[in-house]
Amino acid sequence: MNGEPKDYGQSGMVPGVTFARIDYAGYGGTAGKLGGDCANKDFGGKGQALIIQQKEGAPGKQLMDEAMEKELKAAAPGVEIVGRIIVESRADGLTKVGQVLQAHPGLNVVVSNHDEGALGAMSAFEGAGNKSHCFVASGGNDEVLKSVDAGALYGVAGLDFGGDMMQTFDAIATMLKDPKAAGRQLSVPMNVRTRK
Amino acid sequence: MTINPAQDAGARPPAPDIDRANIPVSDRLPLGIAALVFIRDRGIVVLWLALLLFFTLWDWPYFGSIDNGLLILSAASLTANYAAGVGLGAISGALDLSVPGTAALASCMCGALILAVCPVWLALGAGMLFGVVAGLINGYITLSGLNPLVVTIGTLSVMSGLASVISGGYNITGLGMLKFMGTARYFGVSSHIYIVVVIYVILTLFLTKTVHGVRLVAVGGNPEAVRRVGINSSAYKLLGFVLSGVLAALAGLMQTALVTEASPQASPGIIFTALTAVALAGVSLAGGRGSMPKILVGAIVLATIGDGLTIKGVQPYWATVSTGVLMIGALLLDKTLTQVISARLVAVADLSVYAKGRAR
Repeated sequence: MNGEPKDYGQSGMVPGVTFARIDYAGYGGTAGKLGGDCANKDFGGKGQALIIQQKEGAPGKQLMDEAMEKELKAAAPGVEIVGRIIVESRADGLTKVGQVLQAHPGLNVVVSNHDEGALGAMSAFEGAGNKSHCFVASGGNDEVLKSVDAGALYGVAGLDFGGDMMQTFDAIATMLKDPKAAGRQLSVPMNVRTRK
Repeated sequence: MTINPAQDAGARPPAPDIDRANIPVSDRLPLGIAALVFIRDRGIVVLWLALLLFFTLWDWPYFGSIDNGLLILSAASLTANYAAGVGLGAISGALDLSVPGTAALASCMCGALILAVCPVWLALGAGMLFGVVAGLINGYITLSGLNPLVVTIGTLSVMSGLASVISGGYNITGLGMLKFMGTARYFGVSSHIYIVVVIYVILTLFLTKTVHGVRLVAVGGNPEAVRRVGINSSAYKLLGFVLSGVLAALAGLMQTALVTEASPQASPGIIFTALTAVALAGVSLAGGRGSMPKILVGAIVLATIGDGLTIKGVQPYWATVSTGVLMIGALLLDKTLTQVISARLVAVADLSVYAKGRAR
């Protein structure tokens, strides 16, 4: 089942039921750490960062937003977070990141909570003629993965739903062997890819 | 006090020779009323200038630059194009809520054709042609007597679904060949700005300087009156829908070019943003009144607010709040000013009649 036992009024694991949840804090935190890692490698741990958030009401938004900033600061304490914007589409990202660049021309780290935000930011930097940057995304669609492989994006943290399906089948097989045993709490695995 | 000259006409002695030039009666509005009329009719421009001044001071020194001005215009361009379609539809009595659907379907058609190795110009032409078809469909169904809002909500759903059918529900990516009308800049200015300027100049000239344009506006105001003077009001209403469809398709293609992918998503947010720009411009949603340049300024006002707040790093939710407050404020200001102007004009008219009575 999706979630955790407490979501269904249970105080702990129960026989015959395995729960699977998304670790939003881990998901956002990984992207934040990637941003910090890039700043350390490319800019000696110094710079200005922009956080691109998901729109209001998105699942796990608060957990992701908070973990992203926390891990970014932990990984690169010398990087100052100069802005937080909500981006709904690539065009929106292009516009808003361009505007942030007006106020912060030294912006060099962009950590986005979704693919479209990162791709919009890339276009905005390109439009501004700014080639000094670290882009990181949570997500991992084909276009983003290609950009990582091409070196345009530093890294991406993506949820591995294929891997989640495999671990779910394994859990079902285990429960079938021993139906009275308590099920497991699973977490959707994460794939991290960084530029070569 | 009001004096009716007709009532005491019989008792009036023969009029002496009077230097009428010195009588304080004038066709010109008193300065105070003229100022109020100016603020009401140019209120959106006054508001925009006030916003520019406010953000220039508040966001000093980042807001008041040419680069940022171009960013604002670029950010306003998509909204301006959608607002042109919605606004023109509203003015001509053909308010079209299917605009996001038309844009999405035109965009996906164009993207699919390009990926099917169709020449770019042909794919863009097909997208624009679809705008004409969408307008004709909306128009013909509406002319059968159905409510245009309901009809266009229905066609919005149909076109949105068809866009997903064409794209399989996914974004059609890899359309970098459209950058020439997307992120490309010519002489430092975004290609979108050129497109929007051309569109608004053409539409303004059409609505104000051509017989068909004036008739289109008249049909929006009172189609029955237009019909009674022998003009085919149905044809003009159909034209309103077609123009709205073409502008929606163009906006969809511009958005596709900007992000180099075609999205089947027909976001209803587009229609609300466009309607906000249209309402800020004082366009009557009942039809028959409105100005294209004001709609353009309405779109720029929205972009200015977003830009100013983003540069300042204000929590993004305040942009939504301030836009709503401004819209309601603009409508209240328009209504209040209209009432004040009417009251003052009546008072002036009374005085004029009194003065004319005395003059006789």
